[in-house]
Amino acid sequence: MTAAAHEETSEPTLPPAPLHVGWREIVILGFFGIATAAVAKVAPDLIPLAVAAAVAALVPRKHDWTTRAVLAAIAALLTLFVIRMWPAEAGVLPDVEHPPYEPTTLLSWLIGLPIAGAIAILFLPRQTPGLLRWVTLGVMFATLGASAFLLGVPMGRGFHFNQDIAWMPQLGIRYHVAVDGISLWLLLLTGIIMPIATYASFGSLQARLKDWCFALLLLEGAMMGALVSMDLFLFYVFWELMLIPMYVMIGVWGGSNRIKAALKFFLYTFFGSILMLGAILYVAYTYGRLNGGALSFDYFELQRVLYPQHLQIWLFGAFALAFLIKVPMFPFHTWLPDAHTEAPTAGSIILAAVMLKMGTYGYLRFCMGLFPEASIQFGANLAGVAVLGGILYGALCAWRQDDVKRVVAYSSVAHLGYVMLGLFAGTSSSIEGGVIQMINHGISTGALFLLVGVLYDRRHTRQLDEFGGLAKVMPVYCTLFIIITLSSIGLPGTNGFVGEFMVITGTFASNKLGHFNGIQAVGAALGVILGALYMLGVVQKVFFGPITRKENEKLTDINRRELLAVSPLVVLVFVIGFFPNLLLAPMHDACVRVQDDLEQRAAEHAAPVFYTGPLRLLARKSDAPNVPAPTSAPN
Amino acid sequence: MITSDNYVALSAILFGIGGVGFLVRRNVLVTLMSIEVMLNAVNLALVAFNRARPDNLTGQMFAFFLIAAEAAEVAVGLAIVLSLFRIKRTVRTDDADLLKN
Amino acid sequence: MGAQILSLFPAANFSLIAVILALPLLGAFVNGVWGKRLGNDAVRVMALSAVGGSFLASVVTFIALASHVDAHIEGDHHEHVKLAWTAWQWMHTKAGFTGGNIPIDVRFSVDALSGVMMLVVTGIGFLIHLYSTAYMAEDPGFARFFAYMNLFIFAMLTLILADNLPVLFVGWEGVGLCSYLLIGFWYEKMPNAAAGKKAFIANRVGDFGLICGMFLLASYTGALDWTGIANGIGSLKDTTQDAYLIHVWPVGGGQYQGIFSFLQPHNPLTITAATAVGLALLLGCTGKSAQIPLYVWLPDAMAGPTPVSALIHAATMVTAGVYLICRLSFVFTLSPFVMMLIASVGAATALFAATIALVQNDIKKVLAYSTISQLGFMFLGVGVGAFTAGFFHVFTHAFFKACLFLCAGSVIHAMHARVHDDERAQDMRYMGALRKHMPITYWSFFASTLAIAGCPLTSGFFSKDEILYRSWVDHSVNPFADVLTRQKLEMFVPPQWLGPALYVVGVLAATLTAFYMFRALFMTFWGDEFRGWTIGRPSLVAAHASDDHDHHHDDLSVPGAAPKESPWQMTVPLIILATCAVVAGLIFNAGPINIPALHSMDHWLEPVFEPVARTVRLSEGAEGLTWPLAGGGILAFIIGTGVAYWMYIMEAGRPAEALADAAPGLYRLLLDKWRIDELYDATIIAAVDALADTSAAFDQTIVDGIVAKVPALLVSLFGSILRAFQTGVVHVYAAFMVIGLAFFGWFFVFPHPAATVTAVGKDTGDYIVTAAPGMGYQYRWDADGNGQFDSERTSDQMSVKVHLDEGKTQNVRVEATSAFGFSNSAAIPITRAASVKPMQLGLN
Repeated sequence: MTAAAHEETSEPTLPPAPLHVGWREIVILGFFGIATAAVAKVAPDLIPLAVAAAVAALVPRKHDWTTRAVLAAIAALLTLFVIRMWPAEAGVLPDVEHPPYEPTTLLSWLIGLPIAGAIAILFLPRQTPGLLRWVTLGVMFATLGASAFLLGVPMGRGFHFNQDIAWMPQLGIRYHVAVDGISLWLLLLTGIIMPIATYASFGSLQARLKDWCFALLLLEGAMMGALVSMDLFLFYVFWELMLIPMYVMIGVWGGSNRIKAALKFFLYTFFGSILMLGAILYVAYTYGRLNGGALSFDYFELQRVLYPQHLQIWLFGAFALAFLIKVPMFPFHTWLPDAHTEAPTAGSIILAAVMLKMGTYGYLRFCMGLFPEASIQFGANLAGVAVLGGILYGALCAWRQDDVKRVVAYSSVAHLGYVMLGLFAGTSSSIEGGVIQMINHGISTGALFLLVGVLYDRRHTRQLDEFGGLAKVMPVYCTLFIIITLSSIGLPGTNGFVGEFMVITGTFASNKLGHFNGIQAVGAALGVILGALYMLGVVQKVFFGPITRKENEKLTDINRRELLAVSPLVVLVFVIGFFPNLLLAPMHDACVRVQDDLEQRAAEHAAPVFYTGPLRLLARKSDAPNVPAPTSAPN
Repeated sequence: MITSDNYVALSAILFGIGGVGFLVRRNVLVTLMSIEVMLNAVNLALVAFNRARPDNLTGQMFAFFLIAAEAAEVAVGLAIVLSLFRIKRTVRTDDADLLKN
Repeated sequence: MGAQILSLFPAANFSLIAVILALPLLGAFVNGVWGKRLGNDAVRVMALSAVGGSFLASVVTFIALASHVDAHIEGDHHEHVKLAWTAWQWMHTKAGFTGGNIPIDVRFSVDALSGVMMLVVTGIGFLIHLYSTAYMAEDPGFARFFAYMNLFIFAMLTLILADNLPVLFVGWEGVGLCSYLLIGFWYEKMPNAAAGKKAFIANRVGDFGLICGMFLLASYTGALDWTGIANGIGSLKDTTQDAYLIHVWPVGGGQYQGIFSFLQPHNPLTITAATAVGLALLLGCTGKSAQIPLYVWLPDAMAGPTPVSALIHAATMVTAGVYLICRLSFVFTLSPFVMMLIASVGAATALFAATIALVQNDIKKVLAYSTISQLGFMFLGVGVGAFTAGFFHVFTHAFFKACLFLCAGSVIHAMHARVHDDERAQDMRYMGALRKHMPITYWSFFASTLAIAGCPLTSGFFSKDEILYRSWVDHSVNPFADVLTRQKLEMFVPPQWLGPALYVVGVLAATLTAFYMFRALFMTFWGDEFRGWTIGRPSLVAAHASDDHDHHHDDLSVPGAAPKESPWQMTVPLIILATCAVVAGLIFNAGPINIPALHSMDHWLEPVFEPVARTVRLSEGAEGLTWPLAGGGILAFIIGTGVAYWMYIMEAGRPAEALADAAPGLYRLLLDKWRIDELYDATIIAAVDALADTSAAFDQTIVDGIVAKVPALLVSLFGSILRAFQTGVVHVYAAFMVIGLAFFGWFFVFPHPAATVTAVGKDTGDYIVTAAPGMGYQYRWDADGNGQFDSERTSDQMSVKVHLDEGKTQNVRVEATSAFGFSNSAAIPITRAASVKPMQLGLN
């Protein structure tokens, strides 16, 4: 089941598994366990340091200080997160007199650090790869550490770390960033995935390292920005800024057919976002007409606009198309397999783990937030698409691919089908399931691409029939791959199950899917079978049976760098699988808020013939951060 | 007697000849010559106008400027013709379709 | 003693359960991560101490439970009590129609039912671990094997002790995973890996049903833990609201309009929610418990090591389905249709699997099909509402089937000394006369065979006969009966002939069971000569002792050592299990013989099944039928055994060959397991395959084609059109230039007069008409609109001022003359609206 257990079958000539744990380590572990317990008694804040020290001491002597440092940092951060996330005991009421300190500039740090790092990279000499690597990683870890402060604040229903600065006052464009219980987790996911992908990429990628680091940091900054911006114009800026580095990463460091794939990726996503830009401008213009000429792109202001049906449908369509292409949802998903197969490993990881979530997050935040009636009206049909075209169709297609990366890509289509189904169903638990499924997909699919990249670096092919019987020569790798596979097919106890379960039950309990909540829940449950079908098929073809090819007999097992990169994800698989409440508790109220907003509007104007009156400006939502509405355009 | 109108008419005829030459001839050198003819027609017109309105020498000034411009233009044009000849071994404008495709 | 334990661990927070669960997990972790460095001895100690400690903790727990139960006995009736422990809050979900939020905790509980299962799993699990230490001694994957085994014990305990469905599901899939890993334990052989995958997929099909059952229960009963489901069960029976009916077709009771109207059925197909829940859960149970139609994975699962077959595929995991049915008995009994289905599936499986087992030659295959058949008996029992009997059969079957598998393993172990080809080492045709060489194994096997064949006074007899008896006399009562009759709704009533039919099928299956089990016994252990290899003289034995495990030496013609009895680690478990297989029935049965110190099984389980006792009614005169119906079982045992003895001992197997020759087709069919696997391959799997191929092709051609290629085509089309203008030929460009110049020339030579009108002040009647400027234009104006231009000569005057009275219209004309003398004129009509005067009020 776990790493060393497979070693009996491995040749003695092979290098031993990188993570040695013998009696010495066990003794040290016990000692540090006691020490940590003692520390936890006297000074709970020092627990992460103690854990870090323990991990650093556990690393065998033959590894240098960098290994220890990285491992210790990872362990400390994970511990910090667990401590921060641990739900308070029942009955302990939040201290209302002294609310926790919310630095308004924190989110700007999250956006600014990577972008500043990217600019700094430009001034570093191209000839010092070591410096470039460490600066990039350092910036990313700094961002991750900063994002840990997000967990210090109980999220509740509302938005936090709200920062609102006038940017282009004439046009009502503001620099407005805020975070709630939903985007919180996507921020943390981004913060965790980026350094992992970066660190993993440093192994195989040598060419144009400087540009690579620049692209990575710029990408992280853009994604963080897109996740927190509460101003539609700002969101659009980050949304497009996100596109460029990924386009470059595929086009420059990609595979043999990279140009076509990069172009396809760009055109698909850009087509949608152009429509969205038009819709954004129209929405702001409409608001201006209703508000005495004072334009505003502010999310909470635009939420006040109540559109008549014929108008809302078009605006919803423009937004939804942009997001559904990004997700991607049938029939706009075909850019994904090409992009994944051609992208470099780190590119695939980031694309699957974080970038696809921008589509789902965007739908949740903007489509459902700005056009509730339309999203309810189309929810039922779109849910059908998510089940048939996503969960089932994607799984069937994945079963027929012969390239491992294509399999994983199509499995992403299936997994994101679950997410979208949860959003369309629109019940609190299905939305929570959808959000947590976003995180799960980020972790498990990111790890899968990472592991596939390991294999690709060894053999420079990903064709399934090129492999077979690898469990004998790569036991540790095989173990990790199987663990991630189980998480990907949603085995209970791993993270995958939590999301699927909550989505399915929430879907059946939904009242927004017309007559079809039952059949759609059943269809989603069917996906469970198909998932096992194709993923276990891959495992069997790659790892089991006799070794069929000579090249595979001398394959080396997963090395230190790759193990370091994938280990946090493996840990997270089980942490989320067993303690999902750590994530669910902070996001629950926010998801309930989304459901309440939907159902309140649905109660006022029932679909399908909802509001047909003139444009109106409603009252500002109670959960919105209290900033005054723009009264007149300051000139 | 010869009025300035005759000069203007002559310049118009010259300009027409140059224009037609520029359009119908395929030889780059001839094309350049046609351009020269047109420019000289303009020179003639300018001088004629100056004769008609002799209060200042603006027309003549422009004529001088144009002569300088022609010289530069000829230099550049011939350089282009030479490079074209080097590349394609021809001075026919039909073959000068490097921009195509 | 139980009181002290309870004072230490209160019943509401019985944290001792943590120990039961944590020890096997710890063992799995240590053996898995550090097993290789620890070495086989440490691994052995770790694994055994983990399971053994878990067993001890279970015993302590059970004692505490017993005293807790006794404390809650009031007279005859004693209520359903349990020891519970909540670990942590796991997640939550929406309660559907009831609206609330269901918290799902990681919560475990021990009651009468799970207590027994817990003891069986840990106890038998420990014995099989002990057995495996010898059986797997030479396997390179020793540590990995015990890691998997410990993990399995953990998962199985999670399944049993779970207090709600999702946590049970964790164990449910966990055991499936361990089974997958252990079936494919020797993964270098592709068939093993394929068998593991097959098992996992088949189980997943069942899990699909279980997931459906979960969200149905969550939505209807508003709870997922046992107590909550039992309390919320009312809404499943609530026939007053439409929700109690589930509209299967049209989906969700919708209307199909437009082109889909042909889909609208004349009379909608609906089932009660209770039936839906029951069907979904039943699918899960058939998957896990290898019943028709999902039994196909179990025979292939024998590819794993034999102790695995004993522990997972005989004693514990495969009974999980029966356990779940017992656990949720109060849900199943709500739907008589589902109950009938369970019973019929069980009976059919029992008979079907028995027929296959008749002719198999691989000893493990025989045992595998006999397991399926016995599981069928259990389903039959719970299906007719005899939950106690069904569960009692789970209990006894665990002993004798585990013992049988371990004996088979012992035999195979002995055969492996010389025969290194797995097929042959397990083939009974190469055995025989082994009772001389392996007496302990033989006697254990014999005892267990008696038990499974239903020899009177053995454990199998009591459990099986109870099932058969109840299958005849039980009549499940429709819980909706009163409501439905009041509302004049149609009600499902199982046919009257069902009970007797089930009984007959059961007896038939029992007869076959006795036959094939004794056939196996005779072929393996009896007879005069050993058919595996020629047994040489002691000297040769000594000579061959060296290369007993030389895997290159397979020449069986060379005399070899006689098959040896297995070491004590293997024989001790055999003895213990065989003893239990014989006496367990006597101790725990509900019949005449009962040791009062211990609870009899049905008395012990009474509180668990008390809610469903009302829904099952014995037919009149059932008491009188006790012994006649029991006679059927005894007759089955005698006939089956006798025929087997006559065929394989008196006639030395000749009648069997004669039969095989008489009906070769049938024989082949049975040998090929009715070719059910082929049938599935040809139908379901082929269909899914075709579907997948179609989708992949569709994705490549249609989707990618339409979404990606069509826009690309359009763009390239426009591009090619526009490209035609870019000839690259200088003259063409020049021609365009000249055309443009000509246009401009024309524009300048011929004037285009135009003018704009601007009113002076507000309604003063004065207007200013301004002509559009042009190069070298000169203008003439006709401001008063009399058709005559005001001046003869043109001038530079670009605008005129016009005055109009109210309501008048005037045409202002302007003529522009270009520098070349060409002139052109345009008319600009100006109208002044008649203003409405306010009425004068002569107030001043």
